Amino acid sequence: MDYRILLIAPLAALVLSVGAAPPQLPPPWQPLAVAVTVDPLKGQTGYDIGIDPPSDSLGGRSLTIHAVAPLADDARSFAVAHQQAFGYGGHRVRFSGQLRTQGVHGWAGLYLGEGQGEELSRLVGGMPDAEKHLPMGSAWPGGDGWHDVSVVVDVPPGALAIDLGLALIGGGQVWARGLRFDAVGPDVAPTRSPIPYDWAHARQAVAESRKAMASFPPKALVNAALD
Amino acid sequence: MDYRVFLAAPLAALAVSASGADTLQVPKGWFAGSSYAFPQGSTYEAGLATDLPPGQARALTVRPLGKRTGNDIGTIGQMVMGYAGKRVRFSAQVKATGVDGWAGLVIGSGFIPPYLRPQMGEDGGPPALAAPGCAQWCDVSVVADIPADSEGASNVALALIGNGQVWARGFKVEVVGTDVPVSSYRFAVDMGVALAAQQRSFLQSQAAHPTPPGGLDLQ
Repeated sequence: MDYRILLIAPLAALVLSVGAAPPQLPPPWQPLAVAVTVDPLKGQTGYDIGIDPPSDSLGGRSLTIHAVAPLADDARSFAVAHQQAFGYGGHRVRFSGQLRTQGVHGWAGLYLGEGQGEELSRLVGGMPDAEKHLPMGSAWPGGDGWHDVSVVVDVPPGALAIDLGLALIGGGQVWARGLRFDAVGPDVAPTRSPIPYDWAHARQAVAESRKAMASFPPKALVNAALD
Repeated sequence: MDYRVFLAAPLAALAVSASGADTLQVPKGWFAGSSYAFPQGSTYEAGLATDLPPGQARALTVRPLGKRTGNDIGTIGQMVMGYAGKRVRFSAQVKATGVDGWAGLVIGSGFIPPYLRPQMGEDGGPPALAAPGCAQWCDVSVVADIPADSEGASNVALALIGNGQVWARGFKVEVVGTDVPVSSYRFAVDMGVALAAQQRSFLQSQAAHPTPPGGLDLQ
């Protein structure tokens, strides 16, 4: 069978896309991307996620997410560079940095959320109740150049892990630098706005995709003879 | 989709695990995949068997790379579409030797291949169903219902848990009637429970003291 067909299936597309990020993303950062591209059979993963090469020569490194393939559905296309922090249950924490963008028409920003990234995966996969666990996000405010951005959340007592990262919804490119993470006091106001991912649209698209695929006639094994 | 044990080594593990060692030829249409060996590397190789006596029919095989544990899975299989609402039988002749875990045929609904399901908890979907091989060549079949409200995808695979080696030939996937009973053995369920416990333990140790994110300087 042609495994490229997986690209039309959100969950499986995720499986494929995670392996295709450029190698320059330093640990413990991890890429995660689901791109609904114009031509999924080209095998394009949609996003490059990593350290922006031009920034290296200038001495200041920046994290970047770049939509590199034409997107057929900006609202569902989503990429992050993320990682986790542990043991902050009961604390108010802040993730901050400087952001700039180019050609972003969707959303770009920093986020803080529950778990270890699985909630993002559930979100783009249109899974039930995923919208109840949206991470809080703080967007690049618009304009030229670098802008300070910070997102603040109260980590629930008992929470073992939190997920944080740079996110891009739709096309364009976002860069981040000067990233910091710290526990803050009650005088710092928490962020109240979740990332504006259109989960309802994603869920509907997944359902429609599932319905379309369900109408396929049965396919036999490919190369059962092992030629 | 999301993932429990990818936790420590999250989603990137998928890509590593799917690559395999590729020392055996993987026939067109088939896909070799194995569970993740931390910190990285392949755990199994799978492909066309090269160790069968001359004259025997071509067969696929799965064998471990190094000493494996009961929480490791190696597979070679395919995903087939078009089976929503159908009862499906996956069959082949199977032979297994030296197996200290489990070896046989597996079938599951959905896009998640069998080697990833135990790591994914509930988000991996219902456990795949399985039927074991024998010490000598024997006919093996495993039967599953593919839900009518699903996308109709079915993952079928030859699988090995732990150590040993398994071979299979004469593969077939077919729709059967409701008079054919559905298999009852659930693939790698114990492994899923063990991995979830390991993950929980890992998380608790990580969370014993605040552990900030690393690499914020992007170096």
